[in-house]
Amino acid sequence: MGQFYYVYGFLPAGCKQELPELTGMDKKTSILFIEHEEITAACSLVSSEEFSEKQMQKKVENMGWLKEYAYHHHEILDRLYKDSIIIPLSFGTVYESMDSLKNVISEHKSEMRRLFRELEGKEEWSVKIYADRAAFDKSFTQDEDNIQERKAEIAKMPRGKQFFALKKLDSWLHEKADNKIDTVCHSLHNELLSFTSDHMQKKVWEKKLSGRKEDMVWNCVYLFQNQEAVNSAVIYIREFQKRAEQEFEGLSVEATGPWPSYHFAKLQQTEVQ
Amino acid sequence: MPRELNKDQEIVLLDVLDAVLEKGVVLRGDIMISIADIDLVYLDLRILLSSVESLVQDQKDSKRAQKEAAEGAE
Repeated sequence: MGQFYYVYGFLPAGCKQELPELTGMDKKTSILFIEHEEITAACSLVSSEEFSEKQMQKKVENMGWLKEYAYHHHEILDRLYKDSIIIPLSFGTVYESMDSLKNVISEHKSEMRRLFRELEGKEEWSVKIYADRAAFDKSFTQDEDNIQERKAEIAKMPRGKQFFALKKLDSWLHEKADNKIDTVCHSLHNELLSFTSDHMQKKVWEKKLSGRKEDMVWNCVYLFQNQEAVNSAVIYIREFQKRAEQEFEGLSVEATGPWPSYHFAKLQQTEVQ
Repeated sequence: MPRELNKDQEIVLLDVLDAVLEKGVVLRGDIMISIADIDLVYLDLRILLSSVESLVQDQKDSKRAQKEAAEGAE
């Protein structure tokens, strides 16, 4: 049985190279640090049978396997990131030989070095905002001018007309609340931009994915310039949360980080030769 | 793992799966997994969640057990 190299990510040469507490993808062997042209590849040996293209393709269809190994992939990256900048590879990148791994490093070394320089000291964070729409819409529409008057007018209408007039009013209010939420999210976003060197807006998750009773109304990842910027942003987010609680009901902001730079460490894809 | 203002562990776990399955650097490997329909994966992620949580717990338990076994052997 042969062995392949499963690669987690690339680090600058000279980084810490001992991680006895972590095992690689086979859950047995330890993480290897292969240094080539001043780039270190963090990888581990895997069985060529289990990690052949055919086998892997079959395995990813098994959600249980995918979950366990995708999580382990992150766990290793997260641990490596504690000691060093890292260019994290996406899940499931395997090289059949040391030569082909070294070739890839040679091919991309300048870009990797550029990324190490660019990412030095920076931190990737995720910021999500949730809105409990029932609570938010209620508190928001109470404050809107003329709403009570309009409701009183509708109450005087004949029953049939009332139904449609109320429906129209509701959808108008919902749209106004949508716009308000959008404005509030963008005001936080614009403030955070002054602390960041890059950001990536992501799709908001539906409730069936997030599992939350609130709607996710903002989902964005930010690359903060440095530690000081992170600290300032955290203070700002806390203040924003306090203000939001005073002004509206049902809005909450959650931030997590620092993450290995999944969203901002990007290499140009070269053509397959 | 993320350190601040981190209120919802389930969401963090979903972010992990989202990041390593969809993000990260795609570099030409000799073998690469292609997850053809990421939206399907998305839908199934929630089903995975409870098992991820138990996985984290299992790992903690097994580390504790290993530690205890090592201490016992001394």
